[in-house]
Amino acid sequence: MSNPLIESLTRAVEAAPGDVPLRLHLAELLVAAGQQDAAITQCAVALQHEPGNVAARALMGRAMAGPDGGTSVTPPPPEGTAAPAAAAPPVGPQPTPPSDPPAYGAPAPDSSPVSFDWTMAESDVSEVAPERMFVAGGDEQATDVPAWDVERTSLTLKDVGGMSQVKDRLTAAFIAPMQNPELRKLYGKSLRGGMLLYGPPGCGKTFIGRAIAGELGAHFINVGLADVLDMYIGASERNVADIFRLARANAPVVVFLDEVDALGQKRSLTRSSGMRTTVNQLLTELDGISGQNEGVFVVGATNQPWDVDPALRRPGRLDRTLLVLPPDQPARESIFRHHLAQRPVEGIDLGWLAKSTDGFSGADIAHVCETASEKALMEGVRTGVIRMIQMKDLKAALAEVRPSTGPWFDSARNVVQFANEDGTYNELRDYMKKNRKL
Amino acid sequence: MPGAHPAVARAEHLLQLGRPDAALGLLGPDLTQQPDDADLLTCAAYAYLLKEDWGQAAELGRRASAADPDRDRPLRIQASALLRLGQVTDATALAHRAVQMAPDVYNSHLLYAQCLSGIPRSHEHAMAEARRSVELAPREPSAHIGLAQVAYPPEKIISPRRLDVAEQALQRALALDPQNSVAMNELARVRLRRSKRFGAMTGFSDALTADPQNQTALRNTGVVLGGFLKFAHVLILAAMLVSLVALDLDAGVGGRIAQAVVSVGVVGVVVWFVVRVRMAVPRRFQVFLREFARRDRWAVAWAGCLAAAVLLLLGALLLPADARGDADVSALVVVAGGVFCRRMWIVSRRRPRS
Repeated sequence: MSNPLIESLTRAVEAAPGDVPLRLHLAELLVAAGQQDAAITQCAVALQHEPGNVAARALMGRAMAGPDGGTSVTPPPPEGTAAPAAAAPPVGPQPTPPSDPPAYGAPAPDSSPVSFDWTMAESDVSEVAPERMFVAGGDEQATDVPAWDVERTSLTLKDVGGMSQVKDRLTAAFIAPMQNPELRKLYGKSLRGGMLLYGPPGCGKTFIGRAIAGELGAHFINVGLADVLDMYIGASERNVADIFRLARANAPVVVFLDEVDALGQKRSLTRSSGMRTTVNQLLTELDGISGQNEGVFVVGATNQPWDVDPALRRPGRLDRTLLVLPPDQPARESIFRHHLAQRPVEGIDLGWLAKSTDGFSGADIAHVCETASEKALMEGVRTGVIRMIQMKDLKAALAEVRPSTGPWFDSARNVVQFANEDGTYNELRDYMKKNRKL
Repeated sequence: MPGAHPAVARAEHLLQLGRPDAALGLLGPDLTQQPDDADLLTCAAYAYLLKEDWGQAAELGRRASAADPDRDRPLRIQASALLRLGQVTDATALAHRAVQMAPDVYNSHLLYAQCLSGIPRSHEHAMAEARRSVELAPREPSAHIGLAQVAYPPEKIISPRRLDVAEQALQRALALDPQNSVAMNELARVRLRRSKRFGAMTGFSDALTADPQNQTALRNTGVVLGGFLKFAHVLILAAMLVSLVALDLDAGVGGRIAQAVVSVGVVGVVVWFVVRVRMAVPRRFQVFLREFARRDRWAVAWAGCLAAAVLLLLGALLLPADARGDADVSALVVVAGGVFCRRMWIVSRRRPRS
């Protein structure tokens, strides 16, 4: 970048990232200077700030078209063939009959995905949307952590979009007593015990577990079924003991037991004595008989709380339960925002999307965004013109993706009807009644 | 032997936890590399058996047997799958081989017994095998349940003596595992066969409490309620005929009195039925009714017609002679009868299931 004007404008844009006209001016200069990639990046960022900005879209189109002002991505000649010289093939899609192979040295652009040059397309858009559009925060480091690693998470309940009822209950039942040691001492409340999060799959139980850890300023240990199960007799119990030893050494800590219905399965359901001893070991560790559990908060998560050993839910163990339901409207809006943040989008009506996805889990919404991206991408492949993800893609994706929570509610329905004598699932029953699932 | 292969050992663990999909995901990469490994194939076959994908289970069981013909477990898995697929003869042959290979494994005898119970004139042989399985594993509830199921197979009319055997076996199973939902369902099925309908209803309800996902028990509550409707149907139809005949013989006071007695009697019996069912399943009555109606809309129409017929009977009793007319009674009987017959035919095909 040798143009001093561009350099100074770049600095100015960096200083005022929200100044769209300035950014577009810079993009204009970049296009004029033949720096299409940089121009595309600037246009994309401008569109993130103002998705409906017509000038930005037009400029992006120009930048994508390249210096010759064309309107499509030109497929390069296949490797090992001579590049067309004088008689260059026409740009843009040109349907070729399948039985008519392209002439040697002059490959006709094919509309089929096979002939699309992914490398070139990727280089064209590689710098588009380098940063999130909607979400400023987030927890980049908290994902993909190996088993048993003690994490520090910066997530807090503020990062959990919507779900105000869940947050209120979490605060009242779990977080407030933990965060107020004086009051806790006054009332003789121990820093022991845990909470069982349950609900349909894909609704953010793990996310909430991390947020609890962040909120408490505690470490986080994520324990999955695979981390505990071991082929050798006695090894699974030892794994459970090791996890709690590690947790005690790192207190305050949140031990997140994923799939706790498997780890602590009802003893009547366990078919092997090996698993029964694992359940017993888990009970022992929760009681802190083999060690001091002060500052060790255990959060279990399960899709099937009815399969969890009742002994695990006795006082001092996972004695508080919290139903994590499919996200409400504000949460869905937030999840859409999060999943679209790193994609090139324009004209997205998040409110409409959130309204139209009642009953969708967070995972379903991620799937909708993924499907919409796929549609926009494949259209780009078909037509040779790269474009942004639009509402029509998301609407088409919505027509394809169905809420995955249905089977869970079918199972839950039986439980609420036939195994809720003690009122454990009253909250779930009320939700299902309200949503006509019962 | 499951311990020989790390992936197999972990997958077996997952299968014990009822996670066949996760187990298959674990086995997949190893199976791609070692497609003829008997351990991997056996474990995968069992996973498919748990997933109720009988075809895949049978095929993988066959391949596992071919890879290591000296093992009994793949034979059992293949036989179980084939039995579910209705290939009783092939399943029986495989189960027999499994028994020969491992005569001390109770599972083999149990499976062989189940296969034999599907073959005509093999009942005594089947019972002997089921008893042998109980002898081998007297502390195993599934062996006792298996014996009960062989003694009282679904879809069959059996002698009371066999019902006794089944009931005793199920009580032993419940003594070993009081929360065994399958045993509870089977015991309720035996009670139903003994015409203890209210007790059966309680049993199915208890089975659902023990395992709310026990769809068989839920379906069986529908069978009991269907039976009640059938009984009510016959009763109401008989009452209508008696009423019509009485009025035909004597259109005066005598006929009206006969009609009144019949009508009140019918209403009384229906109310008694409802009260007894409510007592049999306290707090669940409405849930069962709702489920019954949700599962079969015909049942709703049927019950509606029965209610209309009762109202008609009462109406014929209370209204003056010139306000009622005979045609409406006959028409309703015909319409209701058509629906009822259709419904009865459906219900008659629905026996309580294991």
